[in-house]
Amino acid sequence: MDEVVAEYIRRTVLKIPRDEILAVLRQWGFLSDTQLGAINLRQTKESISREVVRLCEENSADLKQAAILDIIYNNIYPNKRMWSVYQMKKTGEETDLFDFSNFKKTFKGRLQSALKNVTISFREYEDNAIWIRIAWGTPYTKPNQYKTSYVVYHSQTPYVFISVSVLKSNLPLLCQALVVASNYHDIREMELRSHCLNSLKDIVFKRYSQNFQTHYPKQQKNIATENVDIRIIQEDKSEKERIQRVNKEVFGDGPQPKLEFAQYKLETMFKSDPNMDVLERREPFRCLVKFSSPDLLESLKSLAPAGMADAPLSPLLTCIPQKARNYFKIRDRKDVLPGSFVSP
Amino acid sequence: MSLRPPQNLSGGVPWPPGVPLLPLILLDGGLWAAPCPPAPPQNVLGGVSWPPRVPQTPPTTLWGASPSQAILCAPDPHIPITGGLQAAPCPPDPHIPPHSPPNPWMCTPTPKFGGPRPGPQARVLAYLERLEAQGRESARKQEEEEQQEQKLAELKAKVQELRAWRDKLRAKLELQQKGLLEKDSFKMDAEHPSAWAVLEWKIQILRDLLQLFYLTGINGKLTRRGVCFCITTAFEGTYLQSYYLDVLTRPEVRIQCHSVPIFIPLEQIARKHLQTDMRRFLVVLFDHLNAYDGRRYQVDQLQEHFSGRLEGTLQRNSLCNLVVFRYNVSGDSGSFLFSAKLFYSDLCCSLPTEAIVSCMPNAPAELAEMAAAHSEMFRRLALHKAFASFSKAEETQDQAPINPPGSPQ
Repeated sequence: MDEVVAEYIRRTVLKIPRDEILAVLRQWGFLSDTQLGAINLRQTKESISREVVRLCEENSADLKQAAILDIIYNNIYPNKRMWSVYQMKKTGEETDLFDFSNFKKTFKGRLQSALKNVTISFREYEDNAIWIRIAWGTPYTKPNQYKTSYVVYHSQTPYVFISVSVLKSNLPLLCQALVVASNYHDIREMELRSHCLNSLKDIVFKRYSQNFQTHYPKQQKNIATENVDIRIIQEDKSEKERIQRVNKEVFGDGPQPKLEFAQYKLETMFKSDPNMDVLERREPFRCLVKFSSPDLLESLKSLAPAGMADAPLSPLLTCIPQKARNYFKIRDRKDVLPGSFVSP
Repeated sequence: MSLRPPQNLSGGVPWPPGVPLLPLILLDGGLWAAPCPPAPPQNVLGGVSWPPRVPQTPPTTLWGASPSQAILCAPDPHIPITGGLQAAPCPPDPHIPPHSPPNPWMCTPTPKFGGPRPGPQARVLAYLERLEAQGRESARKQEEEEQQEQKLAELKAKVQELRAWRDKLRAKLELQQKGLLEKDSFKMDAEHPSAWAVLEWKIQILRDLLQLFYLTGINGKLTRRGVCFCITTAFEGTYLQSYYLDVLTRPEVRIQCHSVPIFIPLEQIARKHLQTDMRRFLVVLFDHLNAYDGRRYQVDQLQEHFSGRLEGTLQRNSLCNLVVFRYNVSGDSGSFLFSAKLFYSDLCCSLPTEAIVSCMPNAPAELAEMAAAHSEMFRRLALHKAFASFSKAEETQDQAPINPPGSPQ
């Protein structure tokens, strides 16, 4: 077995938490059950990784197998990477029968014709997601297995989730290959980034909780009436109810997608009293506002009920899932194009 | 509130005996203090007579210094003390019957702090407490009675109402029976069905209609700025999913937000029909969603119930309009592998438009026939039902050689 492959497998195993090692290896399916049973998990991770490498050597693992193990690891721990959403467009209206084998062939051919030294691995998952791992090289050097790009694509959707490698120069090539393989014509970045891949999916696939009015409202628990001391009189009951109602209209009932930050770049003119003579220059007043939180939308949702902000919140904050972006540029009104809420 | 006999107020000067005293209250801090009548203004500075409305009262110089004027009233617990000094002797307490024991307030106060409490005072206090308790008790009883009366009245009213309702229903029943007898003159003569009854009847009809719309799969609710449609998909009697569509009607019809999966060509459908024919738009969208959920449901059912027959992984795309899988078929001469490729080129259809079933190239001719039959089956039956019928066919085939011919089955 190649030394590079052995070292790569060893390092991948080292990244997995000890309790999960066996489950990941089982999902990998490369080692037999008896081999897996032989692994002694009651030793240091260093020794476990060496043992796994030894077993892989018995089965003579190659780079392909190692790459699949890496895909499995990244699929289980997608939050370790930063994901960015790209949107593709097509001019025609035809919906094609997406064939996975065709897609693979085209994608691979496109990349390999441009760049000889490149490792491309695919893995299909139950939820119609295709995971693609690309290790980049140059015409003269072998692919670097530690600086990989990841692409997650759901067939027949115009969205691609890309986690780029440190080698950014290959991004245009990757985008081109994607557009061609999935039968689209154009691709652009959507200004929507997060570590939580599933939340990004929820946002662009419209699976997040939205408030829809129907004649058949879902049964919801009325938490407010539980555990309330009847001796306590809520003086601002109607106001609280209003806040709750408005909040529900904006955020819906369910949990919010997980985003870590929202960034607003202000390029607006400074408006001041003309007599005060502050900043009379007709130049944009540049500043950057960044909101960050482990769970930004959930914290925005609880701002108004906690009494820390007026309800409803500014649409600039609440439009994040609707507009599917968390990077904004704010200019004075004359420049602003009327944004459509329906995603294209 | 506990009443205690007054103690020596001014320290050195003992309280003259035989004078009714102002009872004192034990405050939280344990201090003795007079409850309400504030200390009269001292005459030392101004020389104004006190109280001004009682001119014949000589001015009091010091609180308690002129005992003859300090004939104060023992405060009745029912009469709130409002402040101000009462200079006149108080009227007899109406709660105390005439044959009550001698006025306990006329007894001698304890000359010193902490002395033993005299008996008559204790008795009087006990008596007062008892009176207080009695008062409370009677008030409570009265309240209870009132409540019961109220309840009774309410129940009586309800009985009346229900009786009236019963009579009305009886009348209605009679009318209906009559109406059935003479169908031609069906008139809800309605001897005067109350406006409320009519309203309720209308509401019920509307509710039923709503339920009906829900069952058809498309229903909507007017919102402030438009309509919110709910599309419910179903496949062969199983309700599957609900999708929502918030449509604004002003200034132009436009989709505000929705939960339709991204790969459903919503935008195309909207471009074609939304502005011109809302009904058509909804029907087309409904067909797309229904067919998509139907296809997905079939594949899910197949994987759930026949995973043993499937070989390898089943491949499908997001729209489920291309499904590729391989499955085992047991024939006369052992088990064979078929591979199937189902195309659904009509997106509004939950059955494949084309089904290619192929077997190994070196397979016997009867297998090729079987594959053709399977292909036909896939095009006509739901995926999981087709598989169920294969299994049934194989079972009967397997049983056939075991049972001797002519044996009863």
